[in-house]
Amino acid sequence: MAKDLKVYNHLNYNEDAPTETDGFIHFLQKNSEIKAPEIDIDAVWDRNKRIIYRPKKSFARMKIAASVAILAMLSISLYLFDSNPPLVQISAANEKVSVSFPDGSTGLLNANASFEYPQQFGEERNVKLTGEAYFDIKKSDKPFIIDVNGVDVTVLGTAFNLIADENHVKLYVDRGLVAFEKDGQQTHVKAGNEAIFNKTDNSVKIFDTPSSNIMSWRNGVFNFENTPLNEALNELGEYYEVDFKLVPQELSTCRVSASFNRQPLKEVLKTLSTILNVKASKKADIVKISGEGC
Amino acid sequence: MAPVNADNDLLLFQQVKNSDFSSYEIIFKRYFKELYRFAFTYVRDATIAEEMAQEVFLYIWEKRGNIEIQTTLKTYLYSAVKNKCLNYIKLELPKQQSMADISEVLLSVNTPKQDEGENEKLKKYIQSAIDALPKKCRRIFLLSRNAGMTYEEIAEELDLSKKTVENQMGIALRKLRESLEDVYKHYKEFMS
Repeated sequence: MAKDLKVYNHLNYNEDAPTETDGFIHFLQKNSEIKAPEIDIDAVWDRNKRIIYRPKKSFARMKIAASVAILAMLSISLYLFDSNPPLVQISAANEKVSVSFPDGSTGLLNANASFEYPQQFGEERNVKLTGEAYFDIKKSDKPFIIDVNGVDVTVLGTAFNLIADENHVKLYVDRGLVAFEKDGQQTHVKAGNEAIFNKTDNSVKIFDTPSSNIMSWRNGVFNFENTPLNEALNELGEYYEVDFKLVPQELSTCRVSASFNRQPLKEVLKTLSTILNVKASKKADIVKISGEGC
Repeated sequence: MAPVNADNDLLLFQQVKNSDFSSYEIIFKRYFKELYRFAFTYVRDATIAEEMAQEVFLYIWEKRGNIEIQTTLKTYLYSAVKNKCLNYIKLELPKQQSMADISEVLLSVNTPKQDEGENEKLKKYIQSAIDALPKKCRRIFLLSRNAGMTYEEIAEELDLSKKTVENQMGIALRKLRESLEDVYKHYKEFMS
């Protein structure tokens, strides 16, 4: 019978002659000590504060805001098929749109993305995604399956970000565990990890830390560290829904190190102007950045 | 030193009870990191460990009016985190999909980063083997290994017979032995 590890801990096992199993347990004990990764106490404290001060009704308000946006920007259609339940199709035009699925799960569509799902879920919760979206899935025994460019992402209850282009599907897991499936092969992705599926060679790569600011389009938190200006502007442009124009184009190689946390665009531009010694002017949704370079 | 800090703690907590948010912040910043590390020894997942400690602090703020601390604040916090972690291992962990029959999980750690030391690689192998244990086994293994509970304590905690716990532990060790056979052999050769 297996030795009690607690007993082992107290080295009582020495009473008997050491066996082969003892050796193995010793090996396990000695090498399974892992250190907790360092955490940023200020970030943790911020999260705590945010939860405490979160207005209770914020989600409802967001939904109302979204439905206004839906009226203005969306095309929603219902298709009726003979045998299948009606399909709902929702596409976001230039704005992010929050969608509640029939099971109470939510999806936040990034601009130009779209969902297609049945008006009522059956044994499985199937949603088809084109483009990028953030999901928060209600726990249930019925799997929630997202078809994105022919790749199935299966979840039971978790939060994650999903984006696809022609050849890649990129998945970032915020919370929980997500299985990434292609041709019957599953890969599991843990919270904090990012998986990139390459359709051209059918490979899946998992990264410990997400590349760039993958969640920022959703939460407006950006951390740039020595990031090329054009990359930083791509991400900022997506969140603030503006296009950037660089004059001269060479400015794109300037490096930016800065953090932004949901500041108004005006403040962000002011900070960038100061650190890069450039001028920023905004006309409609185009921001012109000009200067001599850095 | 400790008594001064402890007195100060209880004073601070008294102020928290009077809804003083800045005292709450001081307590949070004083204890969060160590509680997080403490939680990590149980759950072995940074995100979950942080969540466990966060939940304890959120609870304290929310229920500040009703909490009466009989011992020291520190003892109170540690036992609250411990209870959260045990509950997590007991109730939440089994709900998660087990990684049991996913060969990819092991494949993906077959190529550890190059700059990692031998020892780090070894730890990764072992960790992934533990992650790949069937749910029931893993839960018992974690309680034994991380929480340092005896088989009797585990049996009581999970409402199982001691025999079942022993059997599951046996299965856990056998499975770990199987999946780590090569690594273990290599380790033994290296050490001798």
